[in-house]
Amino acid sequence: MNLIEELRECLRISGLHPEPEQSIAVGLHIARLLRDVQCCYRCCLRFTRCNKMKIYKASEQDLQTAFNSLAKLLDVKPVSNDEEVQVASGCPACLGALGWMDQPENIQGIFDKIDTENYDCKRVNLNCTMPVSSLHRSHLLGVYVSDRLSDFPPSVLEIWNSEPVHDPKDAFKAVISDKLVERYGWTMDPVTAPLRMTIVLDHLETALEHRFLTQVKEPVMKLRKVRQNRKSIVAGESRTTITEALAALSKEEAYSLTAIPPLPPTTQITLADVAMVHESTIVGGRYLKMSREYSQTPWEIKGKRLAEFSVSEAIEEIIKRYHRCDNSKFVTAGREDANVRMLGTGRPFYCELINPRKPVLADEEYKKIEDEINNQDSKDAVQVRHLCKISPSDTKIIKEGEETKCKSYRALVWISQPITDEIIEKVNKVGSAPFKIQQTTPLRVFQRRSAAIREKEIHTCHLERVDGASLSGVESQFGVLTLNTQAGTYIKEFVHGDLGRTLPNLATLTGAVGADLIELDVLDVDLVWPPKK
Amino acid sequence: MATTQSADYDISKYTDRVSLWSNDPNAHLSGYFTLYYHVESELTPTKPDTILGDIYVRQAPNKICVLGLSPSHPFIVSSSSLNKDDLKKECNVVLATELVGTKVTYDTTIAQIIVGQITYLIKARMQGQLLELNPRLKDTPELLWEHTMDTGYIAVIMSRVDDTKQQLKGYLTEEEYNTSLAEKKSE
Repeated sequence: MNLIEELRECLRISGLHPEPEQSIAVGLHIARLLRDVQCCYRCCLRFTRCNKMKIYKASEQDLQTAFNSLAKLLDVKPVSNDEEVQVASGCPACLGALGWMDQPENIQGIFDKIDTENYDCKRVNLNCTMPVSSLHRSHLLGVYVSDRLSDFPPSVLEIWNSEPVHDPKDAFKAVISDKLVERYGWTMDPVTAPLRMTIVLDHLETALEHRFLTQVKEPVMKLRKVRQNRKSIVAGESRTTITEALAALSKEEAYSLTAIPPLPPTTQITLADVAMVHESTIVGGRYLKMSREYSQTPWEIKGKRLAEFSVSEAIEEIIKRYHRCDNSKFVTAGREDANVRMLGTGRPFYCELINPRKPVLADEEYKKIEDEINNQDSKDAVQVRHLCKISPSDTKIIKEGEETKCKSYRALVWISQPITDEIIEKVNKVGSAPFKIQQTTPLRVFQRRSAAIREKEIHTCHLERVDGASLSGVESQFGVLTLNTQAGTYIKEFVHGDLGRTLPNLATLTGAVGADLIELDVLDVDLVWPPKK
Repeated sequence: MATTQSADYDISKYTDRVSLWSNDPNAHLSGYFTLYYHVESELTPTKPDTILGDIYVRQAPNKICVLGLSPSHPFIVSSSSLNKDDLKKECNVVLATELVGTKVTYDTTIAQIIVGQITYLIKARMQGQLLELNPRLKDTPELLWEHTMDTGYIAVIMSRVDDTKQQLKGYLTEEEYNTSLAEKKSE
């Protein structure tokens, strides 16, 4: 079918008139009305309920020819008397959005952004945001048309008033999609595509035009000032509100408050933004921390870093580089202080990579990343194991694990008297079976936790002398304590007693006056991670 | 499942530090708190039959304050010459538990120690939020005279301001306090 035939068929099935053949004449009439006020042909198509995106892709010139040819065929007035079609930058309905796509330099702006970001992904969910004024202008043009349908039976007016005009978004997306598919080989998939692209068009000249809606007798739209991010902004004019206000707008009020038909704009529409965001990729594994000088994540108090280095920075930076992303979130199954080592099989973690330009890597690449992390300057401090891709649904395992799993620790402890065989026997007897301790909120976290007494279980506990230490003097007061505890147990407080606020504690178990924790290591975080495939 | 790495602790790094702890089983607390003392002025007005005395405050890096009786407190001084079993029976520790969670000021009485006719009033001597009163003092008041400087603490208060000079205005450092005690002894 050629364009004229396609157009004819579109108008025929548009439903503008109860009888299909008559719909064509109604459609041409509406198109002429809109052309009289300088609407672009694509807006004529959407006002005449044209559903076939293929037709929107035709040029303005071809559409003019098709409309006029069709009018001639039906022996009605032509839609336009112009020989050459005007460039549709001044369309009062879409503000030129639907003609914007015709200009190569405009599309180039979009191509440039895509080329810069260079996503390694071919499935795209394309969205667009039209200038806000297109909402009320389409509505007002609908009113303008509705007052000029007297040539037709009343049912036509009824039909016209009952259905809203097609959203310009659909035509815009259809034309742009074509160009993107042609240039990049993309698949446009609004349902499951992981890469979301939003093209935002602005028309500054008419951006506040809709505010006439606040002037109606019983306004749906009420503007108010609110504070957001320490700035005062105006709220109450969302697109939803505008749509509601338009639905409640009577014709009389519309005529009294604003121009019908709305005037064509004098300035061009602009590309405000091309936002591209890819779904997060999640990479996880287990890390070991052999240093007592690395914090888990960068921690700052009053502008000063607590520890110079952190585990998360040692791991994230390299992963971010391979996946080409700007930001990440480091999530771990529990935490350890900077001066506590994480040994054994390491602590489960995952990294959520925000907006990765290269979302997918092969398994071999993860081995490469792991090796790179394990061989950089921090290698004696931080190591990772089992680095791999994690599916988003598995991330809950980490959070659940924090509550339910048990942890193994080993500590170098000091007590205020020599550790005798009796003391060792006493502690190990108690520690050979699970026992409960009551922990009042530790003083060191009392400023950010509520006061409570938490009961925790020490599953096992074992005390030994330090290898090679003397049996008398200060050396004999050191011991190695190995513990297996319920998740959430405060180990340091179990050792030093926190001024008697954790009971029993190591001092009370040994019968000594005081005890202190000298060094602490986490030996094991009992959680299956990464999850089995 | 866990790889058993053997303990690799090098205690020689710590022997110097812990040898300082040999004389005082609470010396290690200096790693967790800074010790200050509040000396009660003789001019402070008191109700009849009530006694005020010196207190200590251990402040943690997060500005939490742990308050207790100092060795020079009249109750501690007098308890040293009394029969401990009798003292335990006669001593009644009354904690102002209704004040926990509220803001206290310099003059707020947070606890009382009643021995016979004498009531020792324990005042907050700072502004802040009272987080805790040591619940173990009720049943085991001997913590007060046997473990004055650690498990016998009386209260935990959250500082109103971060600046210690302001929060604990007028308090003496450990060194200043010890010096003043020595001076008093020699008088």
